[in-house]
Amino acid sequence: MNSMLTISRLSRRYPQFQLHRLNLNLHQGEVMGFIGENGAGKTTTIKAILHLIRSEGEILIFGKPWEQLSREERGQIGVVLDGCHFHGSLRIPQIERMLAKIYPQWQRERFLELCGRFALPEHKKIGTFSTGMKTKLSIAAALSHNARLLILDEPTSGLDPIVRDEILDLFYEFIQEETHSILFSSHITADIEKIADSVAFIHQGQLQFVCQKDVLHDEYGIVRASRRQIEKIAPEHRVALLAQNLTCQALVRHRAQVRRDNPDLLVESASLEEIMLCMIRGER
Amino acid sequence: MKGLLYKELVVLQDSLRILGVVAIALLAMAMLSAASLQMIGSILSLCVVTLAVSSFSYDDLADWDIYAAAMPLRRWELVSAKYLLVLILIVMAGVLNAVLAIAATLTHGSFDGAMFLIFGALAALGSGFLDLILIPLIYRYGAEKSRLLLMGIIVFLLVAVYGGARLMSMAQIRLAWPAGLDWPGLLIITTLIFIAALALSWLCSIRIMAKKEF
Repeated sequence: MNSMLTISRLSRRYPQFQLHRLNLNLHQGEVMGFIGENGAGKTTTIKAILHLIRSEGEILIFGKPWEQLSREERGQIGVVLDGCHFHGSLRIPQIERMLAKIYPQWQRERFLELCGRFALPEHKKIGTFSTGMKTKLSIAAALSHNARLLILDEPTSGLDPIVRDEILDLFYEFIQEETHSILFSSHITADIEKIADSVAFIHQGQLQFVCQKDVLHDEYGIVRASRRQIEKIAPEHRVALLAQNLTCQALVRHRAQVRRDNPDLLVESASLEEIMLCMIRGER
Repeated sequence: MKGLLYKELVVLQDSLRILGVVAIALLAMAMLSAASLQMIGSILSLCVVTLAVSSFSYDDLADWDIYAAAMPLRRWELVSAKYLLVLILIVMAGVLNAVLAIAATLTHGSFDGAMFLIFGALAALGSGFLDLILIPLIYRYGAEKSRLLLMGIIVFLLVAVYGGARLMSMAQIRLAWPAGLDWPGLLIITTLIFIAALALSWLCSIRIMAKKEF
């Protein structure tokens, strides 16, 4: 499988925060959910990928460093950053004309079709659009220049579930083409659950794991019991322990094995949100 | 770059429209009286050319730069589009002054249209100089801080010129107008200095932008 995005030992140091030797590999046809709490380093990683900040390590897009990408190749990277970046005084036809002059493979019909599908008012100023409409416009633009790689930084944050669902459907359509890939950063785990093939979890600037979503669901489990009962689980299976009001919640690995070893405990499958919560807030 | 330039002009079109209305009002005034028209023409030039600075504020408001930097554009193209905008605005200011001069000359036979044009062009270039100082500062410090810095620079220049003139007057030193230098000559020299300043400012902005992080 060809690699669309390869990140090796990516590091970036700020006074209060450090992104530490991050490694990722996004293949053709893959949707990678990039999750972590606010301030974990998701946006810093995306900025480094897009060459918006300086960083150490190596980042290859379509197998090449950023500087060696041609204009056509750079035009095949669709980007949706947090919020809408079009001027409030512009209207859709003006944005279309502007982008047509910037992107080498601009698809006018596709853009207008997506704007129509999202019911975006063609002759209203962008400044009068709702947050959801602005996000839809950014996504319509990102999907209308023959992109092969979509880099999405929290594209669904601040949107209601219906709009989020519409947008996820569109990404799902995009990924039907097997040469396409998506890196999807979000802290809304439900969106990642719905669309991602693999999940990369970052916490305090350090990558905790990169794993196929199915493997996560098959391997990880949640045990709710007293601390004493949880401490009976073999340490190599215990990932994190989160103390709650009366009981504790433990995140365990190799769920089937834990079940076999501890028949008195109820070991349920763990959702992405539970995994994230335990790893961020729990004792490890 | 065409796309960026198109964006600049569309974003500024409301401001340009307002200035167009002002220009039409001035045109009507030119038909009635040519008095103080030179001053008004110069102020109009200033307003048109400093719109380039407003375009940075609009970009800030939309958080445009980070998005533009992720597009298939080189950073020098982002910078160059702004400088092209400055040049277009200077030409616009020149055209406005020409229209005013023609109108005033047609209605008042004694009106010196050529002088009016020269003053208008000097005012446009003078405003352009402000842009050339300000654009690298904006790339370095952002639009808001740069406005304050520019005010500081203007105050410093005023104090330096006024103080220098006072000192020269106290020392009884008089500067004579260079022999053989007429107004058209001054315009040519100013244009040449402007071109050199433009190249310097553009290079500074490109260097700043190349290192900029978003």
